[in-house]
Amino acid sequence: MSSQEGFCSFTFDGRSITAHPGQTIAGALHQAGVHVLSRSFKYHRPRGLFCATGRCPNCLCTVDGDPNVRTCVTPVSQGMAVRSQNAWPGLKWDVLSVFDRLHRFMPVGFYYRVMHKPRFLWPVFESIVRRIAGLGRVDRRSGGSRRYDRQTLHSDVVVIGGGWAGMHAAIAASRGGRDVTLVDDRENLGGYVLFDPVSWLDRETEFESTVQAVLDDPRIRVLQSSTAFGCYEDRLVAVQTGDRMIRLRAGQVVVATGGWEQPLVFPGNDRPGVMLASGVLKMLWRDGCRFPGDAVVVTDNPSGYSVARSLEARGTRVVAVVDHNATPADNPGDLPVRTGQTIHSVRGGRHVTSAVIGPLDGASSSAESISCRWVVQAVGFTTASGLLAQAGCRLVYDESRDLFRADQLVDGFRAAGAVNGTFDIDACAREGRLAGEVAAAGEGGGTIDLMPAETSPPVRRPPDGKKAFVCLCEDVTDKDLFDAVAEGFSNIETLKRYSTVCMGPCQGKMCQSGSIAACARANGATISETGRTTARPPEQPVPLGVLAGRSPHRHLVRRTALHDWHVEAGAVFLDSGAWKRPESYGDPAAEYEVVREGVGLIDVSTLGKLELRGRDVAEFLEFVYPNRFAKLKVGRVRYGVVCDEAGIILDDGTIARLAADRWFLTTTTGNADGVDSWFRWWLATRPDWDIRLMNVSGATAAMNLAGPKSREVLAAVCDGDLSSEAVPYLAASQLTVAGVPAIVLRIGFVGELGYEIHVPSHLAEHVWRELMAAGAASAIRPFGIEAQRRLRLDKQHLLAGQDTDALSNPFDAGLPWIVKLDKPDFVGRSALERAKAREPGQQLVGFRLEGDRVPPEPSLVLVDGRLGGRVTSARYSPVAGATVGLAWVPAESASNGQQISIQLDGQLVNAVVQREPFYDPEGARLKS
Amino acid sequence: MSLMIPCPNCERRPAGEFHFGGPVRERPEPDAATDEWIAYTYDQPNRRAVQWEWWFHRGACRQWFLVRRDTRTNRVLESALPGGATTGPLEGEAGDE
Repeated sequence: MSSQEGFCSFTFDGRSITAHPGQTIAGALHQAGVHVLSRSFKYHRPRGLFCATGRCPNCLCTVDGDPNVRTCVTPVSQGMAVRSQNAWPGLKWDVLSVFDRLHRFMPVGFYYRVMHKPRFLWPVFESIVRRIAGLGRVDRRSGGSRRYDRQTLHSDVVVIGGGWAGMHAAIAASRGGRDVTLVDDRENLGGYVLFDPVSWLDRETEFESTVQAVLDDPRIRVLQSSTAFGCYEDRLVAVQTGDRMIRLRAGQVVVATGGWEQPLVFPGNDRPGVMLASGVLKMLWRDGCRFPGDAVVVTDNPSGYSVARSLEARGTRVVAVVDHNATPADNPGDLPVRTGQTIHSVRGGRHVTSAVIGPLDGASSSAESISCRWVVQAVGFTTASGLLAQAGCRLVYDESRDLFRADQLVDGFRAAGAVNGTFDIDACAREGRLAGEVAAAGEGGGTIDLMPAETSPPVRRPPDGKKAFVCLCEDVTDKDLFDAVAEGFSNIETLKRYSTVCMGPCQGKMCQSGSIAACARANGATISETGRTTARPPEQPVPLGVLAGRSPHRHLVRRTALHDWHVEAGAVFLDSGAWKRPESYGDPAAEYEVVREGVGLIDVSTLGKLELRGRDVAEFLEFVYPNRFAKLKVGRVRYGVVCDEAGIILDDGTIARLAADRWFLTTTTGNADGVDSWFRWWLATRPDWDIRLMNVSGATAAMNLAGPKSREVLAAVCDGDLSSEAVPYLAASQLTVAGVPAIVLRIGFVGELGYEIHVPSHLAEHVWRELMAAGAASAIRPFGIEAQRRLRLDKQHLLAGQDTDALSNPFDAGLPWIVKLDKPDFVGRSALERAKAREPGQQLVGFRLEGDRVPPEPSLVLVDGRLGGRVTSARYSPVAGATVGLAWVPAESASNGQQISIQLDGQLVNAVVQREPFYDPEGARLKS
Repeated sequence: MSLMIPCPNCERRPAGEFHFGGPVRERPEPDAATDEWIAYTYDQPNRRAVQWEWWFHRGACRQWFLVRRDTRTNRVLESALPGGATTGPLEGEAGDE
């Protein structure tokens, strides 16, 4: 099916439709005689083109699998598959259109009150409601291949809206020496002028040269088909274009977003054939459409006459121009005018068949029914000032113009054109230029003073009768709003939430003024008193994928200096936060054995490492740890636990004194950044302390050589006396290992003779290889995290963050000896004093479980059938010959020999509390 | 987040790069009454006022600094390196916590 001279074809619900080049989907359907495009949300009433400019929900269809596409602004491409929505089995005859007749049983807010009794039927109701609710269907399989993108741009001046005012603002800002970004949601610049080129015929050259000036200007970046949907703090403008989200940071913002034409509210105002004038003009002049048959135009200003003339020029017979004013708003010429009248209602089902015209004030007795196919409304605009409201600008109701507009602008913002309630072309250009100049000078903000309009405020006839729709998206009628106010939802904010008016796809573009007017009338208040609801992003519906960004998300990955060695050695990796760590090298059981019997080497470079230097470090450590450090000898290391002011364990690690005023600290992998930040805060509060803190976590690599044979292996690459007298347990020595200056800490997380060797990262691989070579004779093996977990569990060493949580203090976690309450002041002292004085709560204890079934981490602990705690760590221990672990248990069960039950595979298994380590409780191996 | 914070070291950066450390507060004396300590530990002030507060630039210079912000409008007025900040609200509804 090739296209002939640019003509193309697409399908609509399976039917083949031909489109002219550049025509929109809805325009092509209109020309093909398809006037029912969708079924409404609640009542499933037939709906056709209404605004035809992308503001209302009536033309939403699924295009090539994408739901809720606005077909009135989407150009056709060859082979598109367009399907209607919300109708079954078809648009022409929809089963659920029965709701239209059941409207008496579906008043406003009815779903709050029905379908919840009887309770056992709720799952049935739920599945029915889920199937019929919503518009359009998401194709869950299509998301994976979509590429959502994100871009960040900066611009001195951002102009939102590429209409007549916006273009002049951009040019003026550029002339002021600024770089400008002009954001426009259509494919071509021009805004409203694009809809009504006929009125611009005598200024065509001026228009075209202005557009060209914008496009040619090297300082103006034009983003076409881009919708600015949100305005956030410090002038961050969120823009959606296709599948990309642009975060646009602006120095100054000019909002020239124009306005939306507003509808009248009368019974039958939602029938296909009832349309807004700007949409009709756009379809006549941009979409190659005609409106055969009779038309009635309702208006209160000259634009109605203009659209009537356009219709006549393109073959429509205008049978009445119904003018609200007592005298015609424009020279009627040959047009049949009725003054002082308005439209009372429209009749018809799938299309308008007639319009009832009558006096402006009540009295339906003198109304007349005119047979027609089209009803075109041209009764004024409201401002598209949502972005200004989001930014914090104050909106007021301008009575003379019958619209809300900003009168107080926040810093950095200017507004120009129809968004100000300015509709005169030359005034728009002047406002645009001024706004651009002010923005270029960096002086956005201030008040907007507008002269009241010369015309008197428009008069509207309150609708009488049912099915006068205020909100087309949610099928909310004028009567619904009155009923809701009568139920007590009289404030515009609660009225909106209860009735869901303005909460549909149009987000109030078509229905905000109607809902405010109805609320005001129902309350007997003025529009100004009623106010409008808070504007929030997004201004235009945005796909969630655009907000989410690229999938899969980029993940930060951190690798140690020894990563390549691990890969070569066949390591199986584990994600520890962002770190890639070897879980094992294929055989964790063997790795465990080698540490207990021989010697193993593990990469612990991921630990946090902090260097502190200065006179006052000892005092600082005394303050920030619950234990004592002031008297720690040079060349010694000590285990410590960092607590917060509530006495809760933040982290644990080691503290080594390398010189009188030089200290070296380690933290756990996960809390490295947190402890660094915690310490830095305390230092910031005490600028009088002589302390310098350096985070050397990345610059320093660390490896733990552990096992009974570790001394002889280390001795092979290290000069100096490594005997137990020279380098005892808990020594912190500075040694040369494999020719590299190293800090060597004799600590024992895994419960064997071992050395934690810290060297500069860039030399880590060298040192590691030398150690592995030196240990070959002793059958050295690298060991991973899994083996390390098993080894430390034998000794009941806790892992901060796994065995402790946000309620764990050192007393309960089995470390009472660490808290030196006789120190005058330290972080958490007050809370720890109170904790000690209290009845103890749950305690962290070791337990032993016969058999080799291992409870998952976490598992529930029950005592006497009642929930008592949880298992935080558990592994099978070869040296204990049983499954062992750590668990929080009630204080009464926290002594040796107490029985507890653990839930495992749905059963309760018995375990015994053991407080001594399962292996080498005296620590003889550690201290050897 | 879109709010910009002026780090004294790195100039204006988006708030997402920072960690908020709460308003500047005076730590009680070690021997202060229990109630005072409990209030300091567990009750976070939440004022409608202009206040000095702690911010940490975790995404860049990793330094703590002070920001003077009007919590009523969320406008950042100035920032400074630590030292010399007051602990109470500078203007606004006192006692409105």
